Amino acid sequence: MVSYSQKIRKLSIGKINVPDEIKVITSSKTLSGRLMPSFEDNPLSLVLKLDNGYNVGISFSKIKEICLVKKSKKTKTITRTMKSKNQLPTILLIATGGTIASRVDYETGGVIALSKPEDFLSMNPEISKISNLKILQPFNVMSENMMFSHYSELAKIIGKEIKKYDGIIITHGTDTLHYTSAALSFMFNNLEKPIAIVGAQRSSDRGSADGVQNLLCAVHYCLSDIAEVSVVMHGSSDDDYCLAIRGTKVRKMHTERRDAFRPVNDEPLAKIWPSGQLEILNKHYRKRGGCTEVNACLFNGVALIKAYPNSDPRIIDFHVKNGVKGIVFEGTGFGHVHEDWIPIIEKYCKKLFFVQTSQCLYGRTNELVYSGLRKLNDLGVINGGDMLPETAYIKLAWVLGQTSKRKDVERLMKTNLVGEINKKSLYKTFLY
Amino acid sequence: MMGIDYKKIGFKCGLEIHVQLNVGKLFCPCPSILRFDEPDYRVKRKLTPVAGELGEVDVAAKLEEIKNKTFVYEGYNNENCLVEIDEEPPHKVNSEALTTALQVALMTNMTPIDEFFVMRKTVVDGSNTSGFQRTALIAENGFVETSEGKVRITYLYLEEDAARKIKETSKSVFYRLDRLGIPLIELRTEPDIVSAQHAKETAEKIGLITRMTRKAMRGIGTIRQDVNVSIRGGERVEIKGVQDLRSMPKVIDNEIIRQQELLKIKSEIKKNKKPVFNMINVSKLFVNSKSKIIGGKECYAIKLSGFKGLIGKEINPDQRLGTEFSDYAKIYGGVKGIIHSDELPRYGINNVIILEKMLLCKKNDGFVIVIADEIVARESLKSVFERALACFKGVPKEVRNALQNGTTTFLRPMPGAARLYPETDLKPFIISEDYLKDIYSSLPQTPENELKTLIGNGLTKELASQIMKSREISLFEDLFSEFGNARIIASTILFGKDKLNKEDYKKIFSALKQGKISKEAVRDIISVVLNGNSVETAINSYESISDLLVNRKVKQVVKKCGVKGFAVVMGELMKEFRGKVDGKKLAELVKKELKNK
Repeated sequence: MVSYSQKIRKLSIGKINVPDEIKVITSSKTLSGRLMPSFEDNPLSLVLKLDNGYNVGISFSKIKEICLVKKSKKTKTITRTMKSKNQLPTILLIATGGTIASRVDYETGGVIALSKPEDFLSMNPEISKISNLKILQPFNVMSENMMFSHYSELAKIIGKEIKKYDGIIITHGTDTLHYTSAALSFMFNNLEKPIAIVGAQRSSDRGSADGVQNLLCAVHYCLSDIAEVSVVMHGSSDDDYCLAIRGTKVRKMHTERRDAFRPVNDEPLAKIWPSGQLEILNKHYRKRGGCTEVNACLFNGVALIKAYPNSDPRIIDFHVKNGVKGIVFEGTGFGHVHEDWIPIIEKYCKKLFFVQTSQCLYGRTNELVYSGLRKLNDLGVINGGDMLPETAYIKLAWVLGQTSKRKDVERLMKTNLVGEINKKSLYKTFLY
Repeated sequence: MMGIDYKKIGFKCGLEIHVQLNVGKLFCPCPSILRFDEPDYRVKRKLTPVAGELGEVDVAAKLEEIKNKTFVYEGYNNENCLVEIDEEPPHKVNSEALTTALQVALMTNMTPIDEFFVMRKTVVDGSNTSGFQRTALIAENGFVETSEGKVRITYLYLEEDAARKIKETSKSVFYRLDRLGIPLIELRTEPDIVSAQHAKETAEKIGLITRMTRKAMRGIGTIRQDVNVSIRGGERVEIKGVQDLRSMPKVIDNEIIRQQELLKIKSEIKKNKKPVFNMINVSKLFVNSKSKIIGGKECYAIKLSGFKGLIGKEINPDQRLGTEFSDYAKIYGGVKGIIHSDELPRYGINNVIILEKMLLCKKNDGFVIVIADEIVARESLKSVFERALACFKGVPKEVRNALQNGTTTFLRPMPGAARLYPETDLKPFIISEDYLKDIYSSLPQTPENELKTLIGNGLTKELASQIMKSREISLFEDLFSEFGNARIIASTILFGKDKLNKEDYKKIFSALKQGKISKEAVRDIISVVLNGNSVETAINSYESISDLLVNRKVKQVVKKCGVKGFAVVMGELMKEFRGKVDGKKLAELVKKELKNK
């Protein structure tokens, strides 16, 4: 396959680069504008930005010659230098990638990662009036590519830095944001300060970007006395307020909407307005104080599987063969599996840890109502209660990272450690 | 307007024509329907504009204003989806819209782009939920033939229409989502237009071509024409919102006069030194004034040296230079209006001499007063001052809004180039040879051929061309294919226009076909409907009277006044039967009866 730049080189004299001013001569016309990059694998056209700002593609097969008109000058990006103000609280912002920490290059249309505080603040100067930001960027990954090792790295950084700051913000892609929030929730013992995890559902190039409000509300969260790991995102489709939702009880429930992150089987901790107003919705939260301990070890050999009509239980064999020691399954309803699963679970129940959750997401699993549930209980399957499947998965990895003793694993999985299990199911929490 | 020598004054004029397409929305499956009932939901949003993309007089102030505004978007459960409210990425471009755009491109002799890119054009007034408008350049380099030769068409764009503004308060702007996303094709001509009449002709021609596709929307506001006008020594001024083609020449001629008058003011004011901004609190002069407008209120004034007599100078029918000052003060400062020296004494302001003294005015100096608190007054008077300084240069480059009476009002300064960057949620689209071949082979008729077809169907040339200009050609065709009778259908549509929907027309013509109503009744029925009655009621009240009854009546009248001749008998009968009986049929009956007598 001939690349874009090779094709351009073939048709031009001298070296032409994006975004040089060029003239493109075809059999029927001459067009001038600036050379733009192509984002296609096998580009059939040269992309030219005309003087009126529009990009057009000119088929390579029609181009006779490309001439350089003027080399583009490197444009200096003007950045406002930020002076930190001593009297203001200081917040550490850890950028991990994703929509919220990237912007579109208006000239080429490419996506660039933000790495300087100025980048974050240019869209939201309000933040610099209430806090000093420091930025760390340990890695830059799309949220679907996150691994356990990333969670551990984040926890270690936070453990090292948390004393120096008033609060911590992690910017993150939204797809797996709730796995990260669960992982970090388990990794800190005696968390002493607020940690907000923030994402954006709309890109930052547009006037309607939601990340602006999310970030500002996250800063307000960091100035509060809630010492928990929370996801801070839009509470409704309006640009009105954000919800701070406990990291173990939150899930992305919509592919695109601003208010995609909802609490499941829990109330949000707080409602936060961009003005700084903060309303506590759940009084049972951890307050600032204490001394944070980090326990960042996650065991890799865990899996999350789903039971559904016609599902093949040999998926369990596959996982066992590949070294998995703990399996969380999303059962149907109360946590059921097809009866064909039972013998296979029985086969491994002494060697493996099984955790039962429900694909209903809302409500809790049960071990008694039907005979199938009793069988699972008899085999030692751990009842996940009202835990989200994703949270149970992360928790199992964390618990197995601490111990492999059956008694301890069972006890820890059934004990509420950081708000992941509520004993009481509240009427008002359904479809919050 | 007679007497403008366009060539001599260096007249330059180009058009931008936007036509809405009735093919559903451009980037989602919602219908292109405007609704006027209560919306089902409202979503409130903020915008975060990035500095430097506004091209406004005072960017910082504008930014602040946008940040403090809440935009309220009104939607309907079934007619809108998440795409319009910026909660879902755009779907693939509406293929019918694209095909229509390419048809128009080919019919205007343009060359389609090999591969087009949907771009995001930054918009900061909240009229797009996303903060940008999606737009694509589809074709380039065409022309239309006119009586004055070729008018070149530079580009054709396919883009989404903006949300419809419902109302604005000091804190919020309300928009309805119904119009957002309706496909628009925009054609932009070169400044090849040679006169005001020629502009009208060109707009008409382009409009006609777009209607040949049968996909152009019907009704007011579905085609929008922007006119760019300049004269030698003047500046390019863009006039938006010329909805009625008939008013276009008047709007253009008025703009020419405005620019000419502003140039006269320039040569007049140039003899003076430029004024200096110095705002003075003049409230104390009016503490005890009985003037309802100004008495006891906080007010401020600036001197405009050299402007005496010029502020009151008429530059357009019913518009003075002072009107332009006032437009600026309203838009930038937010006052309701200004008071200037050339209109005094008036409004109960009689102490002009004291005012002049206070402002240190010399013989030729004018002044402007606003009634407002200090902050608003400063903003307002600053903008008046800026506008006054612009008089030294002549005509400001600006965007103006067409008014009903053929004049225009200031809207905003000419914006700089809008920021455009690729829509990252969509792939570029290759316009393949095969696709183009398909479009070529199924191209709509040219307006010239269409006219011939219509005449062939029995229309007079006059009716045929009226139907073509009326935007109702597809309605005509549908009704004609079902009911025949081209002439009556054409004249009925021209009378009823888009006030009636297709189903209404169908009911009327099927009643006619069944003989329930007479040809003469059709127009009256339409009038009854236009007065707010249902079509059914209207038809019922004009239902033809039975032949038996007509015969009996004819006999009676002939007996009574047959001796007075045919015309008198007919006149007598028509008093009762107008619209209810076919006139031709009645005449025959009368003739027969008279003969028998």
